[in-house]
Amino acid sequence: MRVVVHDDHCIGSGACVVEAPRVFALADSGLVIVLDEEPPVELHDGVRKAAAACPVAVIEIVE
Amino acid sequence: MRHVLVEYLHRLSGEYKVPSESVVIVGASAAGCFTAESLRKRGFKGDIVLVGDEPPYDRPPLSKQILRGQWKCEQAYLLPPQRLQAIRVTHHLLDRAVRCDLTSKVIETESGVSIAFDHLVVATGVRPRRPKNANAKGIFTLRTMRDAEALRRAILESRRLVILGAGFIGLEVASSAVQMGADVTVLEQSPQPLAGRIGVTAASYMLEQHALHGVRLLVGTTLSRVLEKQGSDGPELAGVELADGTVLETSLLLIGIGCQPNTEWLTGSGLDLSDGVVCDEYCRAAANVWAAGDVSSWLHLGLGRHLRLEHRTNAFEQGDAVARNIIGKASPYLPVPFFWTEQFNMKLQLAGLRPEGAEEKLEYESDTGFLRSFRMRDRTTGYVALNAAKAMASYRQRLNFGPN
Repeated sequence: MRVVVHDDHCIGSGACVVEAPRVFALADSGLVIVLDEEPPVELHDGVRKAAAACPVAVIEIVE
Repeated sequence: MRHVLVEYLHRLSGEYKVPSESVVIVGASAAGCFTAESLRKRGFKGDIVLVGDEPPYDRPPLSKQILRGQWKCEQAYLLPPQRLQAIRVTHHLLDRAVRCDLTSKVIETESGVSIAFDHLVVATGVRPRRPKNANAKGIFTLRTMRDAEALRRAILESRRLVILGAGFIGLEVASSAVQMGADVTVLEQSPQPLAGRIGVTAASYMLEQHALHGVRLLVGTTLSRVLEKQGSDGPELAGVELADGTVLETSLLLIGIGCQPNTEWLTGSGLDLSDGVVCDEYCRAAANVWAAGDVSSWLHLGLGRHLRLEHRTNAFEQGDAVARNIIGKASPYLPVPFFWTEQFNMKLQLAGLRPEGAEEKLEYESDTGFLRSFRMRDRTTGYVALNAAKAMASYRQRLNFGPN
């Protein structure tokens, strides 16, 4: 799994950080940063939840 | 008729499978597109048809990146063409629904196509309100990509802009237009713009920043008359006259005084259209008829009243909720409203609600921003964050609008 974030559209809601704190964080700007672009299998569920929870759908999962 | 036939074949062969249901989504903007996306993500196997008069794009960038010319229009696409194919959506774009018959379960489009549905999702959104007789050349509203492109050209040409309404659209355009080098005047009827929505502190801070950047804000006044002159092809805007008789010369006026739901095509369908499409707690307007996004007024059980939100976040969340309710056992839609705006160097976010008369309290402060809470009868109802998105991400989690 590879995580791609279209951060042009990120609004810094932080929903992804709640679902997958080991993969996503918020920078000081308030916008998303990806901590692990190819997260290990045990984090995949969280990443999928994060993608679904993003209010502006900027998280893309490439599998 | 189709159903009778299917039933007949089913009995005849004993093994004929009833085809999966079809969902027709009317409106191809955020709510409609996310309903389609979410249906597929959640495993819906039937037909999905998307009907809309424009290609799918996102609207928040229109008053910002698109207006300022920082993005090409493709960057605002919600569902690129290949994505529509990938999720197997049949589309009728550049067409619009003009009639709906809930008894025979069919919609008709402007181009004369009839589309049968098992489920109908109404996501036709809203359009800007416009005062009567405000049709001269030079008078704009902003809702569509075409509006944004035309407004951009006009601002670059005239360099002087009057905006009616200091709401979010008006102030976002003011911010963009100043950055484009225009001279901007904003007229607002209310003596305290924004305060009702985001509280006095955040509102004053934002308006101060506008003033510092050179926006002229005239509050407690409104436009009494539009002044026209005869142009080469019809009437052109010459200026506006305010209630106190002051005349502002301008060839460019943006009207940002709110929106009205696009429900005319549902007239006579039997649906309650008293405020958009009125729905129950499941976002259901009638059996197998759903509404999502700006047009949907649904019963929020946690708040005990109907709510109609014209926010981008709601379009996404409600589209998702409708998809869930179509596929499985329906559950009430109970979101915490969330929206954001960007003006100059400010990013403002509001989570929850600010009821009239709410108490305000500072919760968090940094060198660059702050976060305040709204309380009503010992219950926190919302947070507003100004340049404090990181703090907002955690505070927001504390809000829950579920039924007690």
